[in-house]
Amino acid sequence: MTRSQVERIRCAYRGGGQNRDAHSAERSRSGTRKLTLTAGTLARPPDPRSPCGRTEERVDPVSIPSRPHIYYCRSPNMETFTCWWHPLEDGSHGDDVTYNFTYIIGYKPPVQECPDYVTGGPNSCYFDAAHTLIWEVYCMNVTAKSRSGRVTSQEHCLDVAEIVEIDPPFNLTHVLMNVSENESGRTVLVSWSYPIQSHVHTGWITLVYELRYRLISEPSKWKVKGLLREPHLELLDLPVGTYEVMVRCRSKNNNIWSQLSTPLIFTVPPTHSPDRMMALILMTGVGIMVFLIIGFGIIPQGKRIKALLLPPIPNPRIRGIDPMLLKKGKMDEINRHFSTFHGYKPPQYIEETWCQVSAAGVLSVQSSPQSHSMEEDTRSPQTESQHLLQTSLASSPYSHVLSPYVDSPPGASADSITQSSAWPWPSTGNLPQPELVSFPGMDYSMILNPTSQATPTFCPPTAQDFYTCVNRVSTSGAVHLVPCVPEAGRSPAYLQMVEQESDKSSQLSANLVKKTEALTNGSGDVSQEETKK
Amino acid sequence: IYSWTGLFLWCLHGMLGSAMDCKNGGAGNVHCSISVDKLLDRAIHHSELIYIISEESTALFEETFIPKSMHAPQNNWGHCNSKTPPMPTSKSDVQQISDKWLLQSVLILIRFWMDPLKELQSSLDRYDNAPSALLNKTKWISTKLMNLKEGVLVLIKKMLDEGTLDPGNSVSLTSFMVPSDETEYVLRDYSLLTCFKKDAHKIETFLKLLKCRQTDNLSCSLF
Repeated sequence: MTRSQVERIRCAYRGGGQNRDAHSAERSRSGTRKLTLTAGTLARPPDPRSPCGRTEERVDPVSIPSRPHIYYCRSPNMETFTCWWHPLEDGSHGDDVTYNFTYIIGYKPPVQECPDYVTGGPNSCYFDAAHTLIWEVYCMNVTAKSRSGRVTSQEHCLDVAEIVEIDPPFNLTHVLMNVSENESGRTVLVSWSYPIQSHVHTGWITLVYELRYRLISEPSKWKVKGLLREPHLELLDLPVGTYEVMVRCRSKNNNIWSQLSTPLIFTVPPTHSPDRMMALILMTGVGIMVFLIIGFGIIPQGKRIKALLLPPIPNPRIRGIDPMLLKKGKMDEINRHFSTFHGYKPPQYIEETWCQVSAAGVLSVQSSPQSHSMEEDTRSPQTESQHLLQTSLASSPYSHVLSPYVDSPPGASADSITQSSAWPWPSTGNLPQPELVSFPGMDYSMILNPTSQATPTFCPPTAQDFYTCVNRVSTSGAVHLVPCVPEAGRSPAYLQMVEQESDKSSQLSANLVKKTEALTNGSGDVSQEETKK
Repeated sequence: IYSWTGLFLWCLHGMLGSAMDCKNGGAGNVHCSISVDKLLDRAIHHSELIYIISEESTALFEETFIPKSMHAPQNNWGHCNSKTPPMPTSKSDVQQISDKWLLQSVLILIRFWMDPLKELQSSLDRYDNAPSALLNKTKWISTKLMNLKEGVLVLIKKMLDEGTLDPGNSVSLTSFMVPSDETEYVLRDYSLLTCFKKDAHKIETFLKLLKCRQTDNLSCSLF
């Protein structure tokens, strides 16, 4: 033992001087040293040797090439072992260098030579089972003999029980376990074979394993499972992916790990649980069916469904009647349709300022229609239009006090006028009698007063329609409505006619006559008679 | 971790009635026994723990007190076999030992180390700078070794049908150097620790060999 070594031991024993005073003081006071020790350990520098000048330690003479050096000894099974040495580096000694490997056991002679220089390879010494003692100290050195002399290596001592380094495991296999319901990954059982099986079996050596695995896609994230006593391991719930697994082992009584085994690579497939597949298939099937039904069943009924969902706002129309009729003013047909309605009267248009008649006549006229209508009822041969006209007159909502509205059947109008005593027409022909013209096809009657110089009232029968137009707006705001005349002309035409004298009116009446003829055949003569007047 | 496991197991071991088969012998006498297998397993487990703790203690001591150049087995301090009971040291020799001698050897070794460990404890207490972990571990080893001795005695009685030969602990410390100064104390304690670690390994190996022979005599005998 060198002096420096002794010094270092002494220094370490005394604790580097820092806490020594505290320790000794405590010790002198009481026998208990626990507190002091705890304080001491905490206050102790992390490297207890450093205060004692451990820096004097030198590295092994690997750097010295002129000496052989036993650098590595290993026992794979605690039954045999091998040692290797570095030969002399420089070639100055020539090629005839022989090495002599000697050893002693238990620090006692005899000095023995290496039993086997061959089995371990070049520059090695192999000790077989007969030459290996466990729990004994071997001290060995190797001497290089050459022409220039002998060089001996540094002594190297070992205990075989402490240089046990096992061969790596091999034959890694994996088994994919069955999938359980709730897990997302698969469980994999990895198993391997280990060397020195007989030694392990008898209990001579106990192995512990360490497994490490990683996803291939994450090369640096190794997961380590250590202190395994069995040569298999279940990796639980591995996500889908490709994995690499390596195993190493060591003797339980040693800290030297073996080399890593050759890697095992396996893939965890994605889980196709049958329930999920069935559910998916069912859902997609149902979805497709629904879409087909919608496509083929509903689209043809599109309009109906559309009507069901968005009921259209009906245009103003009456069922059964073509709205075009209303526009074109085919009064006959319309009246025919509407006659079925109870209490229907063709609408009538009344112009206040038109067709002024003497007050007496008006009043008398007022009362007459009722009696007239009664009388007329008895007559059987009545055209529909006459009846219509009468009824319209009887209950005309538009009849005005001053309206010179008198209705009379065209054919018998003249007769009725003349015959009927109810007619309060002045029988004298002195007064210029206003002529009453009515046309069966229309619900409009006209009184012609050829001699009257009064307001050129003129009631041109207009084209029969239900639409009215605004003629003019009076200053008071009242609106004068006139039936719209699409053919005969607009209000300007009216005004013109109003201004003109009877010759124009006669022209218009001729127009009307034609229309009347078109509408009613039987009564055409009478109207013609009248128009001629 | 190991020390705690060891303490826990020691508590279990203390309560030997836990895994025992107890038969009612009538009239209030309860006859409890434990099977040889379980006992052997327990003994093996004890010995494993003892080895681990002794290895840790040695490493801690080395790190704290011993220069690297003097680490065993590099120098003479690593030579234990002259100081400790002689044992067969080759694998073949060991495996030729009979069951009886395996157990007896274990007992011899255990009894040898009872006193030196106590001495080690008191010696470490005198250190100025001994880590507390080291002290705890050595204390634990002493206790555990005592438990193991009791277990081995029971094993011998059961397996070998021999009476308990317990002539007391052998006088063992004399083989070790008698220290005169601090340095020698350190070195002596170091040799105690290293030699004990070796013997703990022997004890563990012997017990495991015995275990194999108990379960499968034929294949275990092949070597």
